[in-house]
Amino acid sequence: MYEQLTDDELFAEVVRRRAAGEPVGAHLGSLVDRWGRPARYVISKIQASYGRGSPADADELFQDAVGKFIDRGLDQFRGVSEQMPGRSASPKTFFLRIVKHVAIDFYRRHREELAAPPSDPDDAMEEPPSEVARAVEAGKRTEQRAEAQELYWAAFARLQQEHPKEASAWELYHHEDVEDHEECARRLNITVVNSYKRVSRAQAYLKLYLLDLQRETQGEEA
Amino acid sequence: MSVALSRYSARRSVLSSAKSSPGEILEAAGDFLRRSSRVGMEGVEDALRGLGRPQVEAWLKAQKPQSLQPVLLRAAEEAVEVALDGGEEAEMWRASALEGLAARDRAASAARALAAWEGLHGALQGDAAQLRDSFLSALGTLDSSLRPRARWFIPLNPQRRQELELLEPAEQDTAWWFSARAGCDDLVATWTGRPQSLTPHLQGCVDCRADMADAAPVDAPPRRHLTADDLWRFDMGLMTEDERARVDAHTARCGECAQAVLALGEGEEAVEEALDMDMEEGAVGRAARSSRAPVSGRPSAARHPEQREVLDERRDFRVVLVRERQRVRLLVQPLSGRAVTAAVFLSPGRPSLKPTNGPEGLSFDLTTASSTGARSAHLSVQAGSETLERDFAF
Ligand SMILES: [Zn+2]
Ligand SMILES: [Zn+2]
Repeated sequence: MYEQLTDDELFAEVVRRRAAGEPVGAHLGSLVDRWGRPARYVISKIQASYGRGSPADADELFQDAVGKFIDRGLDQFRGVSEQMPGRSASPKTFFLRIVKHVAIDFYRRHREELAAPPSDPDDAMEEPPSEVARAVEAGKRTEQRAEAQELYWAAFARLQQEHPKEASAWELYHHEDVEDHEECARRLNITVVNSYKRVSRAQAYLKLYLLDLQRETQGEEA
Repeated sequence: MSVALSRYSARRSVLSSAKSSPGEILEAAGDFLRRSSRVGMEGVEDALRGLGRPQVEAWLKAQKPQSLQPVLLRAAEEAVEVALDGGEEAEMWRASALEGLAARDRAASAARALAAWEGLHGALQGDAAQLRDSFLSALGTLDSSLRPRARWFIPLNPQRRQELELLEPAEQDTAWWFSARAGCDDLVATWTGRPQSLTPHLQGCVDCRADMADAAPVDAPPRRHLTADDLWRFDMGLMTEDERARVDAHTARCGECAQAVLALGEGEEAVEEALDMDMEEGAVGRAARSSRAPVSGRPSAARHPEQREVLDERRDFRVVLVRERQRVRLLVQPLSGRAVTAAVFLSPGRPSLKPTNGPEGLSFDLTTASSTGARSAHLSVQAGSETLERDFAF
C-alpha cells in the first residue's frame, strides 16, 4: 500500500491524519513495515552489545518502538529536528534511534533483574543451602535491599521538603556524582564553606529521617 | 545546687499563691511528687486538698495533649540544630528545645498530681473519669510515637541528665524525654561523618550500634543512574554542559550506565549501517522513489569518507585516529601477529575506555568523550616487550 509515497510523504500523511483525528493505523503500519529490517538489525547490534537477547525479544522491542514512535515520537521528532537540524533529518533515522533506545532500556532493566545479590562473606562459612532455600534467601535479600532503598529515597524526599537547600547540595554532591565542594559551590552559586556545611547538615538530617522511618516500619511490623 | 534543682524549689510558691490556676497547681504539685526525695513534698497535700472537684473537671475538659506533638517535633529539630549549628545561635536553640521537653514533663506532672488528687478526694466519676482516661491515653499515644525518636534530643543530654537525676527512680524510665538515650552523647559525631574509631559507648550501646548500622546507607548514598530519558537527551545532544559533565562523571564510576552509553555508540553505528544497507537496496528496488527524494536525510558515506590519521607506527602495531562525521575513534592495529593490549585514559585515575575488538584491531570510541568536551587522552600500548605511552589529541 502507498508504494507511490516516499517515507517522508507517508510520514507527513500520518502526522496530518493524527492532527486531524483521523485513523493512522494503515499508513503507520505501512511506514514501519518498510523499516522492519533495519530496525531488527539495530536491535541485533544492541543485543550483541549486551550479550543477550532472542528473536522473540526483537519482535516485542519492535512493537514497543512503534508504540513509542506514536506516543511521543511524532511530537518529539519535530522538536529534535528543530533544535538539531541534521541530527535527525529523516523520520526513518528517528525511528531507528527510538528502536535503539527501546532496546537499550530493555536490556538495562533485564540486566538489573538478573543481577545477583551481593555475596555475603558470612554465607561462605555455612553449609551450601539447597537451591530452593538459596532462591528464597536471595529473594528475601533483594526485597530487603529494595525496601532499604525505598526508605532512603523517602528520607531524601523528606529532606527536600524540610531542608531544600541541604537536599540540593546533597543531590548534586552524591546522587549526581559531583563529589567536589568547589564544583558544588559553583553550580549552586554558594561559597565552598557553605557547600561543606549543607552537605554535612544533609547527612545528619538524612540519617535521622531514615532512622525515624525505619523505626516506624518496624513498629508497624511488630 | 544545680540550676534545675533551684528552679523546682522556686516553684513551691505556686502551690500557695492565690493567683495560681488549677492547672498550675496540678503541674507544680506533680513536679514535687515526681521529685520528692530531692525537693521535698512540703505544701503539696494542702494545695491538692484546696482544689475543688469542679475546678479539676474544668481543667480536664480544657486539656489537649495531642498539641504537644508539634511542640516536641519542633523541639527535636531545635535540639539537632544545637549540634549542627555550632554558632552563636546554638544556645538559643538549646533553650527553646528544652522548653519543649519541659512542656511534656509538665503534662506528666499534672497526670501524677491528678492521681494524688483522686487519692485525697475520691476518684473522678462519669464524664470526668472518661476525660481523665482519654487525657492519659493521648499522652501514651504521643509517647509511643515520639519515644523512638529520642535520639533527636541527644544534643541536649547535659541538661537532660540533670533533670533525670532529680526524678524519683520510678519516674525515670517513663520520662523518656529526659531519660531515653541520655548517655548516647557520642552518637552525635556519627551523624555528620564516620568517626575514625568507635568510642567504648558506641561499641557497647545496643541502641547506638543499631542506629549506626541502620543509618549506614547515608554514608554510601546511592547514585542516580542515567534514566532512559537521560540517555535519550544525551544521545540527541539536548543536554546542557553540566548535564553532560554529570554523564561523564557518572559513567566513569558506574559500569552499568557506562555500558548503556557504549551501547548508544554501537547502536548508532548500527543505525548508520542499516541506513546504508537500505540505500543499496533502495537503489535497485525503489529506484523510482529514491530519484524523487532520498530515502533518508543522511548523507551517504561516500560523500563523507572517513579521515584516517596515523599517530604512531611501531614494528608490532599502528595507532590510527579515525574520524567519520561526528564520530571519532582510536584504532590500535596489530601488525606482526603478536598480541597487542592497549588502554585509553581520558583523565588520570579513571578506568580505561572499553575497547571493542574488530577486524582492524582494538577500537576505542571517543565520540562520547568528544561530545562531553574532552579533547585529549592518554594512550598506553603494550606488544611483547615494546610499550608506548603517549598523549594524543582528537
Ligand atoms: Zn548509645
Ligand atoms: Zn549508573
